[in-house]
Amino acid sequence: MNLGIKQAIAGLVLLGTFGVCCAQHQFASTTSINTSKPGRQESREKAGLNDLLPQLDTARSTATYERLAGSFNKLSASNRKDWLPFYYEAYCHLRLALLTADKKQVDVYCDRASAILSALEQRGDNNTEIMCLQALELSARIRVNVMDRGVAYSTLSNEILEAVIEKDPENPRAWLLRGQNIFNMPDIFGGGKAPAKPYFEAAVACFEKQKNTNLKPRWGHQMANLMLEKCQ
Amino acid sequence: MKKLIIILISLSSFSLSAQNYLTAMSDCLAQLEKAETIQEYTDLALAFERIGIAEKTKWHPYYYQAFCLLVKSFMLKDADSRDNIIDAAEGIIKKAGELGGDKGELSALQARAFQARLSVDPGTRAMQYGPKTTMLLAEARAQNPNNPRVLFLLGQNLLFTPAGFGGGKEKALPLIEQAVEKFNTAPVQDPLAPSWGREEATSLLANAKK
Repeated sequence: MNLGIKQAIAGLVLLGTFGVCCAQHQFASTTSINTSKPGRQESREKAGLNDLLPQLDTARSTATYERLAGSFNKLSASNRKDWLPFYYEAYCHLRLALLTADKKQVDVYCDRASAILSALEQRGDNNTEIMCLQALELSARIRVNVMDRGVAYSTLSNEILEAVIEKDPENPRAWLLRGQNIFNMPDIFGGGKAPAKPYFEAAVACFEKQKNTNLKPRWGHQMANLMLEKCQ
Repeated sequence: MKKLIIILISLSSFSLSAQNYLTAMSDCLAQLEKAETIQEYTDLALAFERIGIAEKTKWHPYYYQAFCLLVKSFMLKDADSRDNIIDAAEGIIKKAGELGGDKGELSALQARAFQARLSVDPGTRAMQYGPKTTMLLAEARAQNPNNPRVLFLLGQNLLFTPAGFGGGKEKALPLIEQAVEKFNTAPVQDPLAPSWGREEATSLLANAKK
């Protein structure tokens, strides 16, 4: 029985590293490629994002996120310069990590997201939206092992989000995620509804200011409203 | 007779002298040690509440009020009444926190509340309350690694968490051992300080080692 579990874990670790290797390999080959016809490719890719983003807005099921992760992955293959398709693929993996009923899959999805995010970071595409996903990745990983990860990972996630808020106080997702981390903290240690509420209020206010995001990240508005409602 | 005692307690505590407070609390704590029935826990919860109301700034009465309610919640059968009483207990724990109550002790009590919540409907609640309990106690332990009740409950919780998710016997046993050691060595200075858990921890350790 014990051996079985250990083998399963070893298998998962392997799978995880495999995912990382794949994503890094993809990136290694991408940075050296220069697209010859940027104009055409760019317009084709924008059409792609225009089609996919409304689907992402309404996605709920793991099947939809799986499908969208694949579509974003294909888009990024056609234009490796743009950070957005990579970003959205990573976001789909993180949603899957948060949604999956099988906790053993959480790290697998997070590893995929992490490989993409750190590759983006390495090539200098490090903006506050990517930092938000890095914070979300840490929070998602807590699901697997609260005992060993809970305290440390929530601290790290919060540090990233505090940095984002300092850098870009208008980023609504940073306020939302910071609020969710507080909401999930035990009341006795300063968490819960009341301390989280101002963060969701700030998130909603920022979302309402940013009406036209075009193809830039826009997820979280509904969630912020919902969380604020939960705090009333 | 019981009602009379409660009235006496509530009257005496209105006078607010420190000596009366200690006497009223000690009386109730002595009764708590002997309490067995739902009625006794109900009466004691009320008695502690009255001391709390009279004192205004003390957290111990609320701590024990919540404690009594949680014990009672485990004794009730109907799911709704159990949830209602746990709701009440959680509100009181919060109040004790606002009065500056010991965070380790209140975490341990809140962990009990989560356990009570879980036991109302383990099938649908275990996924939520298991990790929630671990998160709470892990945070409590990070802030104060010496509270034996925190160590005991954390160990107990990990004993029922699969090894792949940070639980299992190997993780749980050292915590329960530490808890028992601290139960046996920690000096009890404050007569009102919580002291429960020693027997439970000792017998859990004996069972887990088998």
